Formats: sequence, C-alpha cells, structure tokens
Amino acid sequence: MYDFIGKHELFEWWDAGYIDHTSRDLKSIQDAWIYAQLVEARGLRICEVGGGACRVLARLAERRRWMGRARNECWNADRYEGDANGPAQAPKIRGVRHVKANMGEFSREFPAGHFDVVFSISVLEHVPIDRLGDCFADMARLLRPGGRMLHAIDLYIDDEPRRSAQVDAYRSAALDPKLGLAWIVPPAIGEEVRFRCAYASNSDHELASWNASGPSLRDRRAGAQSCSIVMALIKPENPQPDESSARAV
Amino acid sequence: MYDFTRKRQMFDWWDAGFVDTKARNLKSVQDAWIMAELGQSKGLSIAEIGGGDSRLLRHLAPNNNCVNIDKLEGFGKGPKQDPNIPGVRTVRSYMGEFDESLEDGSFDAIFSISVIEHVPDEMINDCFADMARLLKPGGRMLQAIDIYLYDEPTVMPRIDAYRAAVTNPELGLQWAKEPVIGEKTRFHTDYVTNSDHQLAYARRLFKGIDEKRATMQACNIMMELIKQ
Repeated sequence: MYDFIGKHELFEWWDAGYIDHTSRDLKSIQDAWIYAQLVEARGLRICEVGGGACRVLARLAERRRWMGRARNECWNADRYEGDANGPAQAPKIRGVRHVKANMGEFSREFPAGHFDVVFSISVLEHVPIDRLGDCFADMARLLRPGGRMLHAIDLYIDDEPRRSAQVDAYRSAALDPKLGLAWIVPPAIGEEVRFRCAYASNSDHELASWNASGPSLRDRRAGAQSCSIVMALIKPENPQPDESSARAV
Repeated sequence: MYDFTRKRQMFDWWDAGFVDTKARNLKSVQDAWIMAELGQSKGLSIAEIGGGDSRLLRHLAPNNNCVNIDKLEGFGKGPKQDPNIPGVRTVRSYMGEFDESLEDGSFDAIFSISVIEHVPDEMINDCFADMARLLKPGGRMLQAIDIYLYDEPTVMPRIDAYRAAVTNPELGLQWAKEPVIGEKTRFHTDYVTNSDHQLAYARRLFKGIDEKRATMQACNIMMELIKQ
C-alpha cells in the first residue's frame, strides 16, 4: 500500500471510536490508521519509530492477555531530543521499552529480525532525504520474515499534478532490493501527486496555530493541503527449500 | 466581491484575533471575515439574517443598532428561544417574506453567516430582493455562504443562482469588488475549508450528505454588494 488517507476511512474510524472526537489535527487521523491496522494485535512484537508521546503504542501495550494470547511486546526508538515539537524526555508508559536511537544508526540494542511490526506516525517527513536509505534499511533489519512496516507520513500537496521528491524517495528507499520488502497491496500513488477533495487533510485551524512556532512554512501552509501518505510493506517469508519435506515429516 | 476565502486571509485574521482559536469549523472563519469587515463599526444600523445566538451581534451591539432577523425555529441546532442578546432586537421573520415591520432602506449593513446555503432554490430571488429592500443607499450586504466543491471545474447551479439573484437590476445592488468566481469552479488547495473532524462530527446533525462530505471540500463563498 502506498496511498493517501481518505475522508471515507476517516469517517469509518470516527464511528469505530479510533479518533479523538475533540481533536482537529492530521495526527489523530494517522493514529487511527495505524490503530485500525493493529486493532487485532495480540502477542506481537511491535516497534514504533520516533514515538514521542507514544499515543498508539501505549494503547497497544496496555492490552491484557486475551483468549490465551500474550500481551504485545512494545518498543519505541526515539532519541527524545525534542525534534519537531516532540517531547525531550521519554514518557513512562507501562510495557513500553524506550531505546534512545534513530533508525539508520543500526543500534545493537535492537535485535535484528525480531519484530512483527515496525511503524511510524508523522516522523519520516522529518528524516533528511539522503538518510532515508539507511533509515529504511535499519527498519527492515528489525523485521522478522512476514513482519510488516507501516508508516503515516505528512505531505503538503497542491492543485496540479506534480512529481514529489519525497514521494519518490520514500518509494525508492522502501523498494531497495537489498531490503527484501514488498507492498502489501499494490501502490495507488503513481509518478505524480495532486490533492483530491476525497483526501483527509489537516484542519486550517491546526495549520494556523503552527504559524507562530514555525513561521517559515506559512506560505506553504496557505497554498497547499496537508495530507497523509500511508505506506504498508511486508518482509516476505523466505521460502525454505526443504519446507515441503519438513511438513511431510 | 464574489470569491472564496483563502487560507492566507484566515491566517491574517487568526493573527488579528478574529478567529476563535479553539474552534475547528468553517463558521469560525466566516465569523472572522465579518468581524474583519464590520467589527470596528460605530453608530450603524446592522441586521444579521438567521443569527441565532450570534457571536457577532454580541460584539457589535454595544456600538451599533443591531437587529437579528431569525425565526428561531431551532434549525441546524440553532436556538429555539430568543437568546436575549443585550441591545439586540429580534425580528422573527424570513427574508423573502417582505415583513412590513422591517422598513425599506433602514440598514447600513446586512450580513449572514452560513445561512444562505439553506435557502430553498425557489426562494433565493425573494430572499435577496428582501435584503436589498432593507438596505440604505450605500449600505453593504455581506454573505458568508457554505458550498461543497469538486476536484474538477464544474458549473455549480447554486453559485449561478446567487449571482443571478443579486445582479437583478431591480435590486439596485453593485459588487463591492469585481467578482472572482466565474462560470465554473473547482477546489483549490489555498481555499479555506471546514475541518474533516467537523465534517465527521456533523454527520449526526445533518444526515444524508455523507458522500458529499467524503468526496468534496466544504468551502466559504464571500459575497459583498453595495446598495446604489
């Protein structure tokens, strides 16, 4: 999956109770997308990247044993340096293990091939384009075969169809053959992107409230719509050569 | 003026303190436009159409002679009882009924916020004719009107109907500025819109247009005319 979040989905998540009804920001919609993907998650090993306050991870961590299945094992990779208005200290959340590392550093604290899910919300747009290759390689390293990678990424888009360096960079980083990742469903985003009225977007009020702390993007906010890319990839199971004979035994 | 509100304008109104910063709805931006246009008025006769429990009239009433022309039937979650705003006279009437208790040429300004889009097609001409009747020569008519827009340039019958109504020569109205909205309209990414959260919430209030909300963008038309 490589697509934009739509308002149809937003309304469904609203009705399902995945969205904070008092909010007005894109993050709450992105949270809902991730939550909708993991609503059945029990007994999974999950790593959030740049979780900050870890809103969704906290909900995944608090799930009790259920139907004989264990709690989720939740990790968060975040340096807590206060980037992008994020917190400068790790929040204490029961069941969440914080590792102060950025993806792309290949930190030894993360066991390779350990995780069922690696996800991020409103984080990858802050990664410099020349670091995306390492960032995706590190995240792919953490996934077990069959594990999923889910990212919600902010993007300003305009009226007219155009190529986006970000859109191209995320795609090529994720599809680097060395990583062995594959789309879970075929990508809907093609060569060019433009805003569509059916896309979910950040509220104008939220954008206006950001102008005080980030005045340099005021014109961008005024001219474009702030939307969310969603990206879902899988690290395919490696076919074992002797799998059929093993099964026969 | 016949144009859509732009985010650039909204940001300026936000900085000027005209936008309720806690809000997330289009109405708060429409309010801000009227506040920017009329907020400094003194000693004027001002009528709001369908004002309900109006934030604007509360602000304007201390310095002006204000009337709220509203049937107060509770439409659109509006109040059913007179909000009794200090200094505001309520007239329970619809524009288009040519109510004789409202004198011709008695107002310096008439405005409405998120009201005209609820006027049935067949009432639009009478509605505008009645408002034009009430304006003094030189008086201003300001309308903030909700409209859903598409991706592609489209002829919008309501936009044509509003334009046809106000340009009827019998009304004696003239655009305050040359209209920007032409024959076809489409959504542009610099337009102010209602927030998706507000649309999701509003589905309970006004049912039956969920598909519109999901596939179109809810924007604001600003219309300003001067009575000759």
